[in-house]
Amino acid sequence: MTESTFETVTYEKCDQIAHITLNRPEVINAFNVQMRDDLSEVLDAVRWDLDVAVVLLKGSGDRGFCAGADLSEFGSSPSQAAARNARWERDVFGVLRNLTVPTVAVLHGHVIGSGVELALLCDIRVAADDTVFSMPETYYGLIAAAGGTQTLPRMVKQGRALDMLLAGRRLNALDARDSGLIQRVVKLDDVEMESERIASHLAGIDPALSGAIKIALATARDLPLADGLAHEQRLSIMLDRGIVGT
Amino acid sequence: MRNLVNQSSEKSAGRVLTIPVENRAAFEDACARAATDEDLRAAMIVLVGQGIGANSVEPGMPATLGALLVPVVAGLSGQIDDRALELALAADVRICDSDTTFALTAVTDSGSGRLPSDGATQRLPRIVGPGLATDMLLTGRRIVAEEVLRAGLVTEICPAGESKIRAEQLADEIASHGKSAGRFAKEAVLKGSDMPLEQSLRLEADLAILLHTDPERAEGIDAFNGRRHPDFRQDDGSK
Repeated sequence: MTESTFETVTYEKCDQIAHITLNRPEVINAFNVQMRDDLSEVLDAVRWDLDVAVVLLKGSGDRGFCAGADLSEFGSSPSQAAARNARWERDVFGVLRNLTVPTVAVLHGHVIGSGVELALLCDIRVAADDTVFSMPETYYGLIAAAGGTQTLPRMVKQGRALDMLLAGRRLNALDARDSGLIQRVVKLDDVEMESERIASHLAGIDPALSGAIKIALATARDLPLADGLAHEQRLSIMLDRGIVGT
Repeated sequence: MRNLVNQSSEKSAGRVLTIPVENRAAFEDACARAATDEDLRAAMIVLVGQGIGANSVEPGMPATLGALLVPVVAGLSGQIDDRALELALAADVRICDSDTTFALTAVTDSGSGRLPSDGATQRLPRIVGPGLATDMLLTGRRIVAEEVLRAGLVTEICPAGESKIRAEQLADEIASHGKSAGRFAKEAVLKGSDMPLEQSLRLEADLAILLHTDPERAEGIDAFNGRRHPDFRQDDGSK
């Protein structure tokens, strides 16, 4: 078992399962610059670690997974150009989205703003029955900037996404499941066990296969059907030939 | 411009425009104002569907509504059929009465058998998915409120007769949020939906950075940090 503690994130690797935990429970794990840097370091390590087969992303403390961006640090960028460069120079959200191994967001309590966006960048979302989702950015004169305006409508359909983003509608765990935002709802006491169970299952899949499925699904989202079908077939043949195998 | 807009609520005075749908000229006039009034934060339509062939929605109206940058709420009741449904699909947030029903009869109507031309074949599958859209278009099946809620066509079902009031509340809610933020969020969702994800994320980020120039963003952050509600009334003189 490997264990590392950063200022705002803890990382633990056990039986090919990487446990990444946002760790600022005193502010419901609000996402700040330090957390971006810590998470970036962890994800960079996970990305190249062939001993990792699945990632669990969690939030510490009783109050929730993540309360969103830490606005106390907003407005500190010297210029718009600098802010724009910084967004892409350390694209922690892109690294999470593009991990080749399956990722599972383990959610509870408050999941707000970039908390929702982090969860949407994972492949599977499991939530405790006390989870409440909201995207209040426009209330504060902001818009989502970690992919939420794009990932949310692709997951819950356009009308629901607009309702959440424009009118600030909140979803409880069951509404979120019925909308397709999350896939599983379990009792709060069971969320740890259920996520471990899912992780063990995912860790049992050949990483070349789960990685190919992730690539194929991204293709289905972005390519015309004929191109997507051809791509799926090429991936399948390459896997069968062991070209993309372990 | 302020006297031209909906005065139904003190909170939303000058910030929410109700676009009339019963009269084409009044509709176009209101949409023209919605397109140019920079103080406006939300628009709404109230559609009381009269059923097949009996609504006042004319060709081209959905296109006009769909071109607005300002968020649009639709309160729906009655039988929302054909072009009335196409107009509703051009809004952003839709809610309906519990007894509202929906149908697309153009294809199956033995008298006309025409192809809808105001967005049904394009907006409907993007909003409810291809399965239900194809079913509605090809069979003309009338569907009820619970089914459209599950499909994501509406996001809330109100007790019968209350969708108009609830639509006003939702429009007021949107109008209390950042003005550019609401418009940019709408633009990001609608324009981004036609792009590959990677490209759409660039659009979102650029709009977010563009918002850095907006004084309302600074007020919102200040309010958050001061644990108070943002006050976005300074800039349009309605304070």
